[in-house]
Amino acid sequence: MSFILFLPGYCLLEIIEIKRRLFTKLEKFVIAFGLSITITNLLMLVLGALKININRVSLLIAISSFSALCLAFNYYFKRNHKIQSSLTDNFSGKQVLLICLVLGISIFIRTIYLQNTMIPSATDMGHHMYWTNEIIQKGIIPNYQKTDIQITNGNYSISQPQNISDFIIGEHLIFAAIALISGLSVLSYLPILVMFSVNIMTLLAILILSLRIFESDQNSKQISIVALFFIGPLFAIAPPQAKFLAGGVIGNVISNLLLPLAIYFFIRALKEKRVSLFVLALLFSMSLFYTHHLSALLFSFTFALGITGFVFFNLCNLKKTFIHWFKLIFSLPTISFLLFAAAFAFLVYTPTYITNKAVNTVVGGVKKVEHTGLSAVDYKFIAGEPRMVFGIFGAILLAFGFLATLRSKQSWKNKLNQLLSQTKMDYGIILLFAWLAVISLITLYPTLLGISIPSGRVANYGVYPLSILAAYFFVKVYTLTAQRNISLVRQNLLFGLFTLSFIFTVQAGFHDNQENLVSTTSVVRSNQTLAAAKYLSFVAKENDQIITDHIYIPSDTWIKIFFMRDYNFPMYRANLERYENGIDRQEKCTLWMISTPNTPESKQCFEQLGVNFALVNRKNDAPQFQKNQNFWQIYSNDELNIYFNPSK
Amino acid sequence: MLKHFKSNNLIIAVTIFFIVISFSFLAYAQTKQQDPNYGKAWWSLYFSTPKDNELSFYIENHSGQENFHWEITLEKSVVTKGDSIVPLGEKKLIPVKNEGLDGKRVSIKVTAGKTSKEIYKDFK
Repeated sequence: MSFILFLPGYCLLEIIEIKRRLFTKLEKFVIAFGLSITITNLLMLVLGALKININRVSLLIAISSFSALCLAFNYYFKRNHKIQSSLTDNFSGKQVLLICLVLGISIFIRTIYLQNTMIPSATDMGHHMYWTNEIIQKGIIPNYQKTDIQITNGNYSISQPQNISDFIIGEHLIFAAIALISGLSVLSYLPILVMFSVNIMTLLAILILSLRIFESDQNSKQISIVALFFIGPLFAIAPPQAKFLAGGVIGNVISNLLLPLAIYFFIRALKEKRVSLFVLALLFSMSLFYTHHLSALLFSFTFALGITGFVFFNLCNLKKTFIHWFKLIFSLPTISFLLFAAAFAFLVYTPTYITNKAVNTVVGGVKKVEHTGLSAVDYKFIAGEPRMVFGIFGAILLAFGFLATLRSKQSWKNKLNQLLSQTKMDYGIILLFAWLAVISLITLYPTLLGISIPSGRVANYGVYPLSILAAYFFVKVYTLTAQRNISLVRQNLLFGLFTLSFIFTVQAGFHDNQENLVSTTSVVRSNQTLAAAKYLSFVAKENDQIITDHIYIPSDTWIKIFFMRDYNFPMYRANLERYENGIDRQEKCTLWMISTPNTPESKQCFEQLGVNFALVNRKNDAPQFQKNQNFWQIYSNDELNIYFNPSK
Repeated sequence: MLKHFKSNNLIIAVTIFFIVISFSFLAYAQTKQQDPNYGKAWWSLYFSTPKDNELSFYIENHSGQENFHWEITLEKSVVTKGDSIVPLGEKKLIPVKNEGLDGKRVSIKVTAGKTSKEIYKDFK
């Protein structure tokens, strides 16, 4: 894994640091990981575009060549340079211990939860691993298409493959790369362990991001450690943490790493006016667009609002600010990168949501009930109560910092100048505010922006900025209790308040962990599905059609991996509500063929679609097949039966 | 002692250590769980060639039971029966002659302890 998830990114960072050390070792460790995912994805897309078979050898050559090229370049230019280093590894011993402890607990809780979910079972993961397996087996970039049941003049048939926009290439490439090089199957521990490693790096990404956001604050290290505490061990199982890993919410999990890293680089590039960092910020943004459209959209809004906010707070310094931005944007590396990104999008690979014009389904008004926004209570529940409460307090406290200068006894001009000079350096804080504001706005009032995306899903993104702001609040309150210039009574009162808040936070976070620790995965049931699927894949030939069931068959989405014929093969009965609105499912054949196989309409479906195998739950759906003389019961385990119609 | 370490190196080393321990444990747990014999809780019955009139069948055992009793029924009368021992994690082929089946329903019922399963072919 380290060959793919560390080496290429590390080698590229070495080039960025040709003249000067820019990152601490911890930063480099985390960034190299995120960068490696990005580079591996891009290299695989290039291989695909060049029609080179994506396999172990081509991948090894591509990644090794890229890394060697970076190292050679680095060696050539570094020979005559002595690298300047102004960076020190300066966490204190106690802080290091605390970070290690928090990380240890965070990983431990997630491990305990994940141990019962390791078997291939999650619905979304099954869907994603089909495409990953397609890359592994065919050695090409998958064409996201599926067949469907179509109705023409009352007759049913299976359509030609149609484009689908549900998947984005960045969700599958990294899994395929690791599987190809390691030789592991997608039906192994590979998917969840890759997701878990991304999640652990996300925790560290929040640590390094917090450090940079509050760089000028004397408590920056404390704030970053407490932020790690809020995002690590507290609510460690609830989405978007361990449950997202087990559930196979791949796009979210990867983009939860890429998004903080993109923000990290934008903050540093704008603050330090470094083109190399700006290019990396753009690279991470590009990676986000190739991984998860929702995250990319939120990031775009965050960035736009952040920049607007920065302009607003720098009205007096606009000329200077614009000159800096102009120098960043119209520099050779930036222009070169933008040309590269454009050429990549047009010549190498365009994300499916753009080619299929799926953007139209998101913009232009709310289209589904679950997209209409959450109540504040629901938002609080998803974000975690203490994170939400103290995050808001943190935001107020930070805002108060700006406003406090206005309350001082100075002339308005001085006050304004002081405010502006203070905010001028705070790209980090403004982007942090923008991050939270965009997520909260789309979660609570999506209609204002006319965006149709699942509100609950968006709310999950809020945990990151809220954790950082909650950490800021905690550290500032604690610092206040230690100040000597306030009365003892006030000091004790503040300390009591702090202690109560801390107990409330820990209790809420760990209670949530305890509540979520119960696993719903049944290993034995899933094993039986996999065994039945294996048998079916052995006996069913190319011209056979199969119907399965999503309602009562556990791990059903993994069945298609045994066939690899089409994303929609075998066809399946979906959850009943999907047939009700006529939007998700326009046909009812898949419903009838399982629920009522003996009716005339079902017989028509079986006949016209050529379905001759049915895999159903033994208790819930077997009786209706046993009454049908056309079907032989050819397989039976404790969970499932398989039926075969010999007359087809 | 900590003063002599570069703090970031230590954090990285500890993180890698935790990852190695956790991933090893999870990989072990997954391998164990994906073994069909995990839980020793189920067994299956299936035709060796389901598409034609061949009646030989397999008993595949992933349960704590080893003794299986089987009966072959033609229409409603038992024509053959027998007992087989199938150890945990193994499968056993029971050969069955397929003569004179036209127009008849043949079912195979296997019982192990309190659980039983049936497969059938109908040649009517």
